[in-house]
Amino acid sequence: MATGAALQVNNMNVSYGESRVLFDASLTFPASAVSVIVGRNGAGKTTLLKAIAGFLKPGSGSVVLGGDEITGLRPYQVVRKGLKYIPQDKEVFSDLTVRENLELASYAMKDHDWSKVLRYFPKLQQLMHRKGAYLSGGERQMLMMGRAILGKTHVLLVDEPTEGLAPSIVQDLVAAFKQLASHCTLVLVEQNLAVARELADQLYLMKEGKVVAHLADRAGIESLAFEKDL
Amino acid sequence: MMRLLKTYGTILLVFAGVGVLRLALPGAFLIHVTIFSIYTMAFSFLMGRLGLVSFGQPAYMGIAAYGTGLYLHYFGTNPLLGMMVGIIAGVAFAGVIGGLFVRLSSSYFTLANLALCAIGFFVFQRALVHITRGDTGLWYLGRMERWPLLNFRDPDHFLTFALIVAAGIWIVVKGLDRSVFGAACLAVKANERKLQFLGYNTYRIKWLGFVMANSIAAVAGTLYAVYFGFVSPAIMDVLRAPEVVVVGLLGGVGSLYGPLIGTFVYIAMQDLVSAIFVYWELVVGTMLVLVMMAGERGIASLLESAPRLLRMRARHDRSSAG
Amino acid sequence: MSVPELAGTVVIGLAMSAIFFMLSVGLSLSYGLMRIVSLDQFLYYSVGAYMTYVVTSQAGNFWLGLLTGVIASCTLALTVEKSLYRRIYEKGVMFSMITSYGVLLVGIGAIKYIWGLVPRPVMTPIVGHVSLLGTTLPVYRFVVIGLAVVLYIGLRLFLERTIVGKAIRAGIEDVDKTEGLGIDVYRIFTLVFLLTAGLSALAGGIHAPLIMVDPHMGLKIIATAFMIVIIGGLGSIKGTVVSSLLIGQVMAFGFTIWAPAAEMAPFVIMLLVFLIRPTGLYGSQYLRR
Repeated sequence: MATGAALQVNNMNVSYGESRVLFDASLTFPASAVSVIVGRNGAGKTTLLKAIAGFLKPGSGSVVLGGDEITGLRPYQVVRKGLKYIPQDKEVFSDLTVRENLELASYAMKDHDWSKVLRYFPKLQQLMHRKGAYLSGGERQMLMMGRAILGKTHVLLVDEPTEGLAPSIVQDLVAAFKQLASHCTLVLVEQNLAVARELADQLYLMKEGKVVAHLADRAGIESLAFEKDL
Repeated sequence: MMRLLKTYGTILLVFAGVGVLRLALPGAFLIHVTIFSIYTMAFSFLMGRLGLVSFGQPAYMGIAAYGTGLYLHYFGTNPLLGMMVGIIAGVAFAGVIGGLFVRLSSSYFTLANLALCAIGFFVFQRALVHITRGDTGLWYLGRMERWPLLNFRDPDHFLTFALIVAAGIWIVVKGLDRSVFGAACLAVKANERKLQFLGYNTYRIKWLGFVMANSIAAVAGTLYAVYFGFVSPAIMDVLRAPEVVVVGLLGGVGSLYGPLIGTFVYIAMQDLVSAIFVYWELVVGTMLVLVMMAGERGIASLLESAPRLLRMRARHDRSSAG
Repeated sequence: MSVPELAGTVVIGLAMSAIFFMLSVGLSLSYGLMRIVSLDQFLYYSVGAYMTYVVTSQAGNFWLGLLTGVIASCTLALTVEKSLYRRIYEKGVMFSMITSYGVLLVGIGAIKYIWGLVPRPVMTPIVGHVSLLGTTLPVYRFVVIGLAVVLYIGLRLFLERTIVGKAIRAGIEDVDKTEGLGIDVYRIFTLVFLLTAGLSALAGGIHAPLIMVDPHMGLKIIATAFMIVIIGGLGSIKGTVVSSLLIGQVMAFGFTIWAPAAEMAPFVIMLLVFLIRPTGLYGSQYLRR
């Protein structure tokens, strides 16, 4: 599987009622690579991730995870197949403690070994008894990622992880992503071009619900500029 | 003038058509259909145009019926004046209650109305028993004045009167649908928050819509009051609250003729069923579940969209052939 | 009002609160988690009462009747949940409200068909009385109160200590995120639905000896039950407890002062609460939908 595609999206169309928001999107995410999707607000990035994770029903098209067709599965079934989606709102269960948040993920994935989580995000150790409502944005993002890597994780979809976070925390997250990349396939939606350039092995550019460019070489990724290309 | 006739002529034709049915159908049935369709219009207006579902519609109808009943029983003998009193009572009540309820989110709104209806029933049945005479009800059929041209005790006179009132209400509703206010109502239903951002006072729009819808219910209540010549708490029984929801959904919510068609089908069915089967709840309940499972669009919208669907299919066939 | 009268009224009020709590806590919980208003719960309440009536009069054992009622109601609820609610969950609240009213009506029709319209009495299982502050009160009322307290503590422990309870709390905050962890939320929905139905049936069976069992008993208590849920705030267990206690006392004192006031008072309280907080006393800020 090292060379094959971990996740493939074929000709996906999504509509909200009458209005179409995703047009014939086809993307390929190679195993153990970091793919970054960029685009302006309303370009259809979040819609794409939600449709892959099963939270939206695509009008047509298919999603293939490591050779398995997962189109039309319920979100929890997609998760149990090893595809995790982390939404951009950075909200964890605020009435539950960090420990309880992790317990729920353990219960769902039947993986009670938290050593991996604490290795990537050591800071969570001291926060175990704090309720979600009292965590900072960065801590919540770490908790969400910690929950997501419990159990089998082939592909991790992360929507705008660095949005609204302080630069030092962004650096911590980038480091964590780099480590994670050697264990699973990462798909990030990212508005921060510096982060995108630093992490991306390949890059998709979306505009008005369509995939308009695919850059798979370093030079192309480095040359991307916000004003000009987005 | 021609333009107005073109816009509202269909309504007049439809209700004249109901009148013509008198040649074949009993007057009591048609009167019941006419009044109940007005009542259903009130529900349909609230749900279809404002997105508010009320499980307590009988309350607003009952208040107006009691307004009329109390006036005719204790004070006057003029049924038209009695109707005015009833409608004013209904509108005033809706105005006060609306001010409180319209602020609630949809689930709270529905449940609060259900509670209101239960309380209204209780107030008229027991709390005010020395005035309303409880379950015995107020009787005034013999007291109502009669005029040569308008005798409420003659079914044909009453049917004609009710049909004219109904046509008037339908014209008002259609006029509202075409107005800025109608558009604002629909916008509230679609996306209230967005409308607030645009600077509209959605509270006031909802309140006005609520009062209008319940004024229509009040008209239905007073019509019942003068038709039967008596009023009892049964008119606002909580048990009857779902009836209007069933009928409204059966006909299709928000469509102009839905309330009329739904009522016609429902009452015809009810008369046929209750003639052979006493457990009406079984029938109404099953219908409610089936209608909900089939979809919210109801019979009328099927009828309305059928021609369009056929036309579309014809066009599709032509284009795929060509 | 003398001390014995006062004590008697308070105990009667507490027993009412106990039954209201059993009936409304599930409604509140299932609204919080599934965003449904399940009016068919009042059918399970009636079924619980009728099964208690049947078993008590046939076999002479009230507690067995209670158990039969809970089992019968849960079986019925499971059928309804699997065949109807599965298609409703993704739609609006109104959808569940109207459909479940249909189920309730069908059930009432069936009850009338089977048992007729005549109200039936149910024997009180415990006939003893105790003396308290100069008045004698039936032991059964204290049993009812005790049962509600045990249920409340049990429910709190279930929600706070067990993993399924934590999943329910998580789901009340955000169903999509709970499912996003890999939890099959529909299984949890079914569980909460059955829990609610079981509590409703229990409330019906417990209530039966205090009132008469009749086909419309479910409809008679709808308004009060929902006023309690609304006053407490949809989705809040704490709110349901507080408003059950409040309404129980208000109604008990109402009956001793002026009977019509007893049924009016909850409504007046509801209106007052709406004036101050349109989402009820403890309406959760998480329930944005």
